[in-house]
Amino acid sequence: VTGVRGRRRPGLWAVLVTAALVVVAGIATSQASMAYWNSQESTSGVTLQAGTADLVVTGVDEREPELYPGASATLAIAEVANTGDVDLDLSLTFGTRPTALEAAATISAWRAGTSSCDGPPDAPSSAAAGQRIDLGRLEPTGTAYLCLGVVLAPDAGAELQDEPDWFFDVTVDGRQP
Amino acid sequence: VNRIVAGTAALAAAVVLCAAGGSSTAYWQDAETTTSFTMTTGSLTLTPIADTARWMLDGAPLESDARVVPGSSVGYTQTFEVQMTGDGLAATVGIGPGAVSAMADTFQLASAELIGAGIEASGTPGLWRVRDGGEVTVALQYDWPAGAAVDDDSQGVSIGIDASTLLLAQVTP
Repeated sequence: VTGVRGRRRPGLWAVLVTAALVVVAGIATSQASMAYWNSQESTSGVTLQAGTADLVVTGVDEREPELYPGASATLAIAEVANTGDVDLDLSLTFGTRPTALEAAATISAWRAGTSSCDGPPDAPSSAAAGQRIDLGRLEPTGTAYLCLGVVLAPDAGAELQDEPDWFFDVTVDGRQP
Repeated sequence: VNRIVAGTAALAAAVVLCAAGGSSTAYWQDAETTTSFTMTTGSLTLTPIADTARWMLDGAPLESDARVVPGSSVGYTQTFEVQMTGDGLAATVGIGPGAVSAMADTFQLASAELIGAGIEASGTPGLWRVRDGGEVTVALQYDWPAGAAVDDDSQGVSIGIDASTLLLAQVTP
């Protein structure tokens, strides 16, 4: 009899707790299916080729003019071609000139459209060695002629006769603008 | 003995009563059903529009024999269709720009933009918020700045720009 009296029916709290657990279990199950949408696409790629900056200088008039007091000579010393892919700003730089030549001759240089060297000097004789002289822009596939003018002074001394060593460099530079 | 007999008789009577009472346990019920409803899910898709992809070099169409040089600017545009169907659907579009395979130090991504009606900045670089569907255009620009230093080693180099990725993803409205 005592044992029968000790049993109890499930109370209201037990029912509520059980129900809550069922709800929690349901939420836990639904969380596993949370999602979002997305869509992915790609653009196309490309391969580019870098260009070049290339200046080709070719000797044109390689004469060695015979100068005398008061005489002058004009030479198209080089054809300059832009064979690269970019515009190039041309410049000219004289190398060190022989002292005797410097004293007795006037030297100038310029850019011309043809080998006849028409046009005013771009580089006056006063240009010092190493000084950059602007010769303008040369576009790709373009060509220009580099001209050199030399005038020996009328009062050049006789000691300059048969001078074999009048040699100096002229450097042409092309630089991308 | 009489007590035992009397107790046993009382217990037997109780069992009989309980058995008789158990057979009459019952409950009532009434069931109804709601109306049924069928729903259809929406959609969220990003689709490239044919023939809209354009590579440009300094504002002109990029030709196959083009050569890039310091100072070049390479642009790309392509239009996509964003389809958003669904109540309260919001999404973002993110751009993952393609990498440069050579000369990455000098030839770099300058800008990545998404253009279109219904597009607004998300506050995060490279990510835009999309509230409505429609056409969106991605615009990329890669620049090779010209500088003061000579870099003749970069002449004749083959430079690859990888494909970029666009990701349309649902977000909380």
